[in-house]
Formats: sequence, structure tokens, C-alpha cells
Amino acid sequence: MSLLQMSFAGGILILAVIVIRALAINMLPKKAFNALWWISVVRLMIPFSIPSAFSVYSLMGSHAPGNGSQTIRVLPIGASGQAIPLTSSVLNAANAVSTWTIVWAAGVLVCAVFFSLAYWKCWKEFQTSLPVGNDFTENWLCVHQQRRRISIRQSGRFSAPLTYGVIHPVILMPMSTKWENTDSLEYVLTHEYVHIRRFDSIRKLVLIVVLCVHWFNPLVWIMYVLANRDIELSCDEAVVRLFGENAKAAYARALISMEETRSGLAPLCNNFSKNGIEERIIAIMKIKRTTVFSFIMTGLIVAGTATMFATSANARPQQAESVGQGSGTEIVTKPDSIPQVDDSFGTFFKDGGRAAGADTEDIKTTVPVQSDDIYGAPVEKNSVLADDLSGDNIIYFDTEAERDEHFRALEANAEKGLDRYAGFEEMYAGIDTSAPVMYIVK
Amino acid sequence: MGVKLFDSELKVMSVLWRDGDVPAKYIAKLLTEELGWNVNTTYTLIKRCIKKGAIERSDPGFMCHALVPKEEVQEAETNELIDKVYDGSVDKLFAALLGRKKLSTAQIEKLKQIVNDLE
Repeated sequence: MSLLQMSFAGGILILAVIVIRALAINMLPKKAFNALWWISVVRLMIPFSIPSAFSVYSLMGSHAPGNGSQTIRVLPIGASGQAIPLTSSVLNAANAVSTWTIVWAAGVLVCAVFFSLAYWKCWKEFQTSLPVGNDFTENWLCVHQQRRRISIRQSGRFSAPLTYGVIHPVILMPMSTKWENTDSLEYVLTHEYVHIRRFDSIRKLVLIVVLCVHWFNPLVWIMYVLANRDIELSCDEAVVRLFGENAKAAYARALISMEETRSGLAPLCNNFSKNGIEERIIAIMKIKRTTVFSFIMTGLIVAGTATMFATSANARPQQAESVGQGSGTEIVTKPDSIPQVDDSFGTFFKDGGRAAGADTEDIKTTVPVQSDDIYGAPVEKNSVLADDLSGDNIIYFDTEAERDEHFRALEANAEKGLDRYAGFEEMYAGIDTSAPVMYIVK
Repeated sequence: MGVKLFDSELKVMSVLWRDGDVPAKYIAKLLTEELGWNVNTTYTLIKRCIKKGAIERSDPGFMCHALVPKEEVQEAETNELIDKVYDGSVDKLFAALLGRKKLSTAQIEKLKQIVNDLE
């Protein structure tokens, strides 16, 4: 799968999770949403697809068989390289590929630098924190021991409690902390303690990495925000379970009073965070005991969403192990001239992000892979051979129907056990079928 | 009015107020023992104090001299948070993304009401 295909498939999954989250945020344990976000992250980051007969892409494909080529052009799996509808101008530009990689790589770099800088600045501030030593914190640390040594410090530069450091976690309390208010402190510290135990800082880091790679996908930004919120919500849920359900209101009030000490004068407030904290308070108040029913529902929803949205189309279940990462067959509709490159996106980011055609040696050593044609059926092909990127391997059709008819005939041959191209010897004269073949509708 | 300093900067200043003019190295060593600070952290804070006009540094041995007496210093308020400290952009976006923003009194009241209603 190319990066765009991964981003598209991930985007569809994110949309599904956003809908489920909107509908059931206070009905399911928050772990359910965290699990769904992790499935989305995996979908966005692994460069191969897992075919499933229950995939939404399979279902859509079977409902519109005659429309295959049109449908497939906007679906990530199938005709790889056509994940996103491409304009002919993009195809025309021989150097379109390199332009896009440069833009993408520059975006990744900008995001990475931005987040590193933001963290580095915070880190420098963390370093200037002051140690806290009072009976309450010392007691608390004795009770809450971990293999990793936790320490509690204080800083005037941060208004809300936070935790940093993975190996030596530090809970950083604001200067305004009222140390005599031990009930409230107990909640706040336990909240941070749950973060430490769950390695939430690593989770957040993974989300940032995904965001940097998929910076061009607005749905990934939404995921970033919502997944961060769900980490908090899940943490709140754990705290309430630790203290018992009766503590819900007290815990919610402790959080609100934290906000209160922070606020002082707040002239401009953005809605975004307001919704965030409101969502959080409501979520805390609506935490329910996990019942067998909710447990089963969670399992079903997570598993169902994963099989439907995290998988790709699969017309033939017996080929389930095939991995659609090559692009042996190209379908290009009405280009103004013959494209100079194999495809604009499909093969572009595979093999660890090296550009196709950039390094002949690398490409020639690529192992043969099975790739899907427009109907999702795997076609045995050697993946990209550099010499054939020049545009010799092209077969023209007058109409899309003709082309589709031809594909069906090839499939039929393969099914009968004949040579795939039997009966088309004339058409394939001069075509190297061991290399990618381009099919172009005039 | 006097200079506004953060609590961590005050720690640096308090060494100078107590021990008089001392080299930066001395401050760093002392605060490493006392607060567990990294040497560079202390140097960063000394630089900030210099920028704010609280410390004057003379070159042989990076001698530090307090320019303001203890009485003239105000403790900077927590309200002037990182967004102000870093003149914006980077941290503001970070804060916006993660929903770390201050709330108004009305919003706090609304949240309290929500808790009461759902209790």
C-alpha cells in the first residue's frame, strides 16, 4: 500500500470511530475508544492490507460490480496507485512524483521540528522545577511505589499538573497547589499515577509520530485531538474505579477547582477546550460499572469496526494471505499524453519511502509480489522493473467497457488454468507481461 | 516597579542575596546539590535573570552580581504562563490542540452545575 492508500484507509476508519464515539461516548468503557484509536494508528502506519470478506470495501465492491473501475479509483485497495482520483495534469507532469514527495517530506519535517521544538521548550522548563518535600507527598510516594522511581516537583511555569519522563517519571505540580487540601491532591496525584503506569507519554508520542507522517490528512488531526482526550477520559475512569463510584462527584469537583485556580482572568476562551473539559466532566459523572453486557458490547464494537474498516476488499477468500502492495496493473483514464512514470502515488512510497525509478538497483531487487487488479483478485506479477517505467508496456482501449471486458477475459483464462494472456497474443505482441502493463483508455 | 521573576529564577537570586557576588559555577554547584538541577539549567536561569536585568555578569570567572535587592523583586504570577513567556505561536497551538486553556468564571459555574445535576 502506498502512503496515500494508508492515509485514505486510515481516514475511513477514523470517520467510523468518530461516529461511534459521538454516539456512544458515555455508554462504553473508555478503553474501547482507545482500542479503536490504536487500530486506526496501526492502519495508518502498516504498509500492507489485511483482506477480509467483511470489509466495507468488499461490500461496496459487490454491490457495484459493473462500476468497478469507477469505484475502485477512490478505494484504497484494488488498483493501487489510484487511491486518490488524480487529475491528468498531475499524471502529465513527469516530475509530479518528486514534487509530491518533496512536499510531503517537507511537511513531515516541519511537523517534526515543530513538535520537537515545543517539547524541547517545555523540557527546559521542566528542568527548572523545584523539589517538593512535605509529609503528604512523601507518604503518597511510599504508598504508590513503582519500579520506576517517581518524584514530585513543583513549577511556577505550568498551571496544571502534568507528568513527564518515561524512565524517571516526574509529577509536576503548579506553584498554586494547595498542599493542605489533601483530598483533592489525592485525586490529582492518582490521575498522574495512572498516566505513569500506563505509559501514556509514549502513547502520546506515537500519536505525534503518526500526525507528522500523515500531516496532510485532516482526519488524522481530528484523531490526534480526540485520542488525546480519550487517553484522559480513560485515565479519569481508572481513577474513579480506584476510589469507587461514590467518588465521582468529588473527583469532578477537584478537577473543576484545579481549573478555577488556573483561571484567574481569562479574557478569550476557545470553544474547543471548553467542550473538552465539559465532555470530561460529563464523562466522569456518567461512568458506570462495567457489566457483562457492556464488556461484550465493547468487544463486538471494537472487533466489528476493525474487521469492517481496517481491512481491505477481498474477492477471493482463499487468497487472503496475499498482500496488495504491488502495482502490476495500471488503470489510467484518459490522460492527455502518456505518463512518464509508473504511477503518481502507488509505488511511490513503498520500499521504505524510496521513490520508484530513483534507484534502479533497489527496484530490480524488489521481490515478486502479488498484486490486486481492479476486482481485487490477485495477479501474479513481478513488481516494478525499472526498465519498464519508460512507457513501452501500454495497451490502449477505446472505452472503459472494453477494458473491463478484457480484464474479465484475462481473469477467465486464469480461472480455467490457461495462460493468462491466451487468445490475446496479438494484442500483447511486444508487451512484456512480466513487467507492469499499463492499460489506458483513449 | 521592580523586576518580575519566577520561582526558579528566585532560587538563583537567593544565592546571590545570601552569599554576595559569586561565580556562575558556584551557583550551579550549590543548586545541583539543593534542587537536583542540571548545571545547564542553572546557567539558563542565570541568563534569563541577566536578560531581565536582575543579574550583571562580569567576565573573569563569570562573576554574578545581583542588580536588584530582594525587596524590589516581585514574584511573577502563575497566570503569566508559558504562552506569554514564549510569545505565543508554538505553545499556543500546542495548548489549543490539547485543550489546555483557561476557563472563564461562567464556564466554571456551568461545570459545577453539570456535576450537581448529574450527581
